[in-house]
Amino acid sequence: MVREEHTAPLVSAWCWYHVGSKDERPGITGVSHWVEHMNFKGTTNIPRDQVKGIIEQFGGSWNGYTWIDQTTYLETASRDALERMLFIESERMARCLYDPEDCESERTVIISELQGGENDPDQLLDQELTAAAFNAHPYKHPTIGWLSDLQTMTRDDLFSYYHRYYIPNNATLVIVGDVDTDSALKRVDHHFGPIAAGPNPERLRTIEPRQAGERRLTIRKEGTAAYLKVGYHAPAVAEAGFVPALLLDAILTGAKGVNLWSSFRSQPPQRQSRLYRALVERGLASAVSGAMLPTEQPFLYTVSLTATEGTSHESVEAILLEELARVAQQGVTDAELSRAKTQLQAQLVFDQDSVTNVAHQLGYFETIGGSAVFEALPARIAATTIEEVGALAKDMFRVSNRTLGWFVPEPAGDSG
Amino acid sequence: MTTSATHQVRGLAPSRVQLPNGSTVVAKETRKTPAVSINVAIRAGSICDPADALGATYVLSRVIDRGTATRSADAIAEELDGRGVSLTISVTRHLFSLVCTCLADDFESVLALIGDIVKSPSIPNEELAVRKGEVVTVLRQDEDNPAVRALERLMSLLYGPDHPYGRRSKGTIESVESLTRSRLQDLHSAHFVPSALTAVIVGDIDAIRIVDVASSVFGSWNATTVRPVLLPPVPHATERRRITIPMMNKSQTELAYGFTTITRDDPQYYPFWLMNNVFGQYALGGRLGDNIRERQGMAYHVSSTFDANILPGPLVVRAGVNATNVDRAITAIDQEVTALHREGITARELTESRQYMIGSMPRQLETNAGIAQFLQTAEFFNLGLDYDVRLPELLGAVSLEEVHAMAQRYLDVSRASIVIAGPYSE
Repeated sequence: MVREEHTAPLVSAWCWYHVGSKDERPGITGVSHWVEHMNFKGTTNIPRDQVKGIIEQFGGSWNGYTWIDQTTYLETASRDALERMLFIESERMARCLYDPEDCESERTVIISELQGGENDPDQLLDQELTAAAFNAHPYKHPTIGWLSDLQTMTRDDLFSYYHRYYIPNNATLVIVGDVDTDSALKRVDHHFGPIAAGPNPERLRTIEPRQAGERRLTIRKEGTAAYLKVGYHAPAVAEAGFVPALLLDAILTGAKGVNLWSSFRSQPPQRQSRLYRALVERGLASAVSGAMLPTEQPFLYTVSLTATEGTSHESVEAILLEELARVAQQGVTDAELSRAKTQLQAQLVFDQDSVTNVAHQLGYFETIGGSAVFEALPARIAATTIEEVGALAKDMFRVSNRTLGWFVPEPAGDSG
Repeated sequence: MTTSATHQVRGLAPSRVQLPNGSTVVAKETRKTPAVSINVAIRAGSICDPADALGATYVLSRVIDRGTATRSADAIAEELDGRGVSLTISVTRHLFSLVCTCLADDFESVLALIGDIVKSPSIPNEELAVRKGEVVTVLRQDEDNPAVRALERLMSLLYGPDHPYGRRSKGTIESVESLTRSRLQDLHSAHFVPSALTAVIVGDIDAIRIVDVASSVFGSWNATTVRPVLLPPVPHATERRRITIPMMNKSQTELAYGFTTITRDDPQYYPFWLMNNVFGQYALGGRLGDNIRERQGMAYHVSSTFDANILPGPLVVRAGVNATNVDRAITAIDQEVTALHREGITARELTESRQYMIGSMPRQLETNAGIAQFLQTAEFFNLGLDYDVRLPELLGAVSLEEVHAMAQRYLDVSRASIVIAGPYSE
């Protein structure tokens, strides 16, 4: 996918692979993310000691991330770096080395990443809640993997996974910036054309069974603040309920947009949102947030809050659940829907402010549901009715669709 | 009104206007998206906290947009939310900033609202009580965060616990709980004056119109009295110091390792900046990243930051490591500090970092928000309207010898301050 944007002398290239932690089986959880790390470690034609600086010399930045449905790599740099970017990404697709020593060294880096995440009670609660919310679907395990799998996975596990999924017929290359489409495509063909396709990866067949009843968990651990999180099974990006769910989230906690790369780096406009008013303005929570993320298969809508020091956990939970029950029973108002639409449409504009963000959105949606889904979002948002949002709330906020988790802080020495 | 604009045909060439009341407006028209980024900063950061009211500026930042002389908290919330605008209010040591992006069509209304918030906050008691409760919870969360604990303790160690750079900008639970409306009103009237304000506005609006609108919002503001803030000199460490904060409930240990350095207006700023890029920034953590992450596999994150300021700012190395690797990681940091101190950087490193820092400017200046932040920083440090054009020359003039001189003078393991926070005890 190539899009010309001539507002700055920059180009952003993203190579997306349709593989994420949902493609993993027990025993190799975390392999997608570890493979991502290994794919920065040198290739046949980019020796390990030449990785450093390969894009920086063009003033560029590079990065990558792995999540439940996808793995992606990016470079953004001056426009004259496009040839270098295509070279790097074609090497990454076909010629990574997986030196055994590098695999071992990266094992401890990733375990360090996992332990850094565990330092955050909210992240720990999120991991436990997600695991509890799914019985069968691999969305249940964390993208970083479970510790025992990270300790035991082998170089062969990594390398065979890489070969299975890093093939042209499982990838989308996106180029956005100050380029000429025809000449860019010729260079893409030069770099990627010779790479042979592979067998299409086998896809997951498991569908999460309908949840039969509410699930609850409590983490009691030494800490200083209490966190509450509630998750509901929610529509996938291409399903009819996705946009009503986005609008519902905007009404409850403020509109975040749909850019995983940039939308969540600042607070959403949420002062008038229902849960902010019910919980934060009344002094029961110091913060509340919602997450309705675009995913390939039905994932979770989560609401998270931090209870204010001294607040009764029972009362903050009761008010949160009352508010969700109220919107399920009574729906939303015209004024709320109108404000949510304005917020979301504005956020879609704000999220297009750089070649990096534009390229991210094209590739992200292409990988999980087709870029047409993204292009159609403004029209879908505009066309969504109050009845659709109400029906979605009624269905999603069933008690039996809910998983609720607490992180309850214990004084030092009392954790069990 | 005094107006100036660069005569450069290259670069950002923003318009800058100083209004008769002393406030400054910097405007830059772009045609990227139909949006505008607003970055308003007042020279009233946490250094303005009275010694007996620590955290007052931070709490003011949480309550300043919760009501004005003419608008209720609800009315402000509706004006912002109804336009999809999220107003971020933040406090650094020297600046109190209000930052947002809005659609170009909403620019006049949103700037008028920000002006009202800056000039006449009403600080309602009931709002203050709720915001104080939030801040207390945030302080409690910070107490359980090894990264925050390590950094705050390091700053206290480097500058002293009572120095405006060394104390916690959010205050303490006791100091926050004791704050009153009148105390915050006093703080506001003592430091929020036109001459302390710079409004940078970048986006899809004609620059002349930006200046007109900003003049109408801020031009009639007449507060004049500024209470000066005395900044004590920065102490220099004379010995190596090492502090441990045991947090046995955590999985990972956070290290903060640092020195005090130089001021932003020091002519050696550019050699120092380049040195830090080589040391702990270039290509995923510079030399530190090479050693600790790439070669030894000890940490997911390791890097150094250099924050030259009005007073000599800190250079801080931060890393997250398993508790069993704490001593190895500190040894590795010591090795890299010693290598820089003894030998400086190589010609190739100088070239690469310089090329990267110059080459990354188009990325930094791609978005409206990025341009606005760049111009706000340039204004604060008096770097000139053509700073974006001059910066490559300033970096280009740096020599290996200048970089080495900075390392020799400021990086010395025998004067390092080190804080270890996490599941580790000595």
